[in-house]
Amino acid sequence: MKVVKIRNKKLVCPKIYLFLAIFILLFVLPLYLPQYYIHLLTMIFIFAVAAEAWNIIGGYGGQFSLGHAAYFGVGAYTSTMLFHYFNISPWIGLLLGGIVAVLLSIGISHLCFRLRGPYFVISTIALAETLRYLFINQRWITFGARGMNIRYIGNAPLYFQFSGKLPYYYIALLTMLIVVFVTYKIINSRLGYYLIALGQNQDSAEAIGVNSFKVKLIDLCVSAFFTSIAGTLYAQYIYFIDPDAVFGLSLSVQIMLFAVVGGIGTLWGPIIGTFVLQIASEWASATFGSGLMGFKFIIFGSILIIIVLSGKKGIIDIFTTLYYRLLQTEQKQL
Amino acid sequence: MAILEIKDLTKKFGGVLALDHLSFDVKEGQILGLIGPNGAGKTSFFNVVTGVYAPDNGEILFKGKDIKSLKPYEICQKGICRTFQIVQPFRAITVFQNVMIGSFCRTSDTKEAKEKTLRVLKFMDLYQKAEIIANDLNLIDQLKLEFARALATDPKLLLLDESMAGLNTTECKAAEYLIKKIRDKGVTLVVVEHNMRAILSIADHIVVIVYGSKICEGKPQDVVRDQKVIEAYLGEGFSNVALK
Repeated sequence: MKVVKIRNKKLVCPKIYLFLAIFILLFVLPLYLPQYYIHLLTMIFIFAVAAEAWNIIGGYGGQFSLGHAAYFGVGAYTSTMLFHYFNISPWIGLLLGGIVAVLLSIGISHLCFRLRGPYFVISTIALAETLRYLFINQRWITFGARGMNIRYIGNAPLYFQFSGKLPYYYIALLTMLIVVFVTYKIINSRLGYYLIALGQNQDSAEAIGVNSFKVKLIDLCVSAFFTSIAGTLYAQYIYFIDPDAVFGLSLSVQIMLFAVVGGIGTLWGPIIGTFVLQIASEWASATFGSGLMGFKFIIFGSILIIIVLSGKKGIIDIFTTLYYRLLQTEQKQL
Repeated sequence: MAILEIKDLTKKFGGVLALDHLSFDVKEGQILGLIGPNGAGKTSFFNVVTGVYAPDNGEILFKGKDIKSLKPYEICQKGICRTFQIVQPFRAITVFQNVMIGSFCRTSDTKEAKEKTLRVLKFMDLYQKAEIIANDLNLIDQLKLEFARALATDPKLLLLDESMAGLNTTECKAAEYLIKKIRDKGVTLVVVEHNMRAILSIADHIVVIVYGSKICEGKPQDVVRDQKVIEAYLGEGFSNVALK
């Protein structure tokens, strides 16, 4: 074990410097970048929050959800409707949206956790679709398919509205870092270990004291909470939401895809996946414009196929393998 | 003092009577051997005691308290842990991480769990192999891992289901040594085994189950000479075995 520790020390040093460099870059960069890139990065951060939150239950928890848009939409509509009808600050709406999402996830858990495999996945799709139809049909309160606008009130930080793009950028970045930190804390706690055990062998885990229902429930609650926060961020930044955008199946799939392509069940995987896929999709839109609508889905699909064919668990896995191979080469030279 | 009292335990699976009014006690600190032909109901017995299945009838008292309606994880928290007939470690993670999951049964603090895990690994002589992925271990080490994981939950009663399946003679002796070591630590054990030589060497008391009902119980030397047991399961071969 001593040998491993020494090796670890060698590995830890370069990693930390790399992360520090990237963080400083991310904090300083927007002061020099054109508006478009700030927008691009802000959107990436928002979706990265959702992807990282998905990873908590979909990656570490082993509960593959294709309906996380349900919580995203709950966050978006809760803060928007509270602001629209009661003039309640979206900051409060942010928290309340999170609470509603948690309550929703508790209810869903009791219904759906007894389902296994593909049946559980279908139930998650059903949840998001049910909410989508609900919000389309209840026009009297949700404005239906027409969607809801966030009333523009100028620069009002207490009401989560800013005149420039930068505040949104930093809020989204901070939120993303918070979710990563929360995930990190979970992995190293009893909850994290229990989640791994459950994912490996549920019967064995229960025989050594793991309350599988409670563990999965807490996991889903945390995931739902942060996904809902991403929804509120989205609503406040874009100033417009509608049921298809925030409850849609394509959003659920996209969130899942970002996490899976980046590295399912890893700490930074969903972040990397969001960066790669969002940038690829923006590049596709910019290059091919409106000539090839939906081209970004071809890009997504192609990247996904490459990842799957590589046999690795996402981009993080590919780079980790390369990294260790590089290290070995260095060591041989020594 | 009886740590586990089984009274009139009955369990049916459809038309199959797996447990037929089973009654016996397990005394604290003893190693009780549970033997019988395949399909006799030994694993069903473990499954019912650990809450995987609810019994149709009868009582299960652990330290005097009824545990019939508890779920498996609650029973583990009460102090009963079981191993499985086919070793089931968490294959994709390391030995250390496997035992950590057991350690977390008694504490939610990661640091405490790590210390306990190290203690258990040293006790089971697995410390050198702590960072090996469980799937890469050989059978005897996987067995030790299964024991270690169960021990990490601080059980008062350990149920071992055919732990020696697939082990050669040397490995069996190692397993017997470990079982006795665990008993000396204060854990009561119920051991299901087909390896008669091993059972005769470690058991203080034996219960024989055939078709879900107890046909005999007593000291090992008396059980191997019981006519009913010889006819139903053992054959004559063990009547003259020199016992501890």
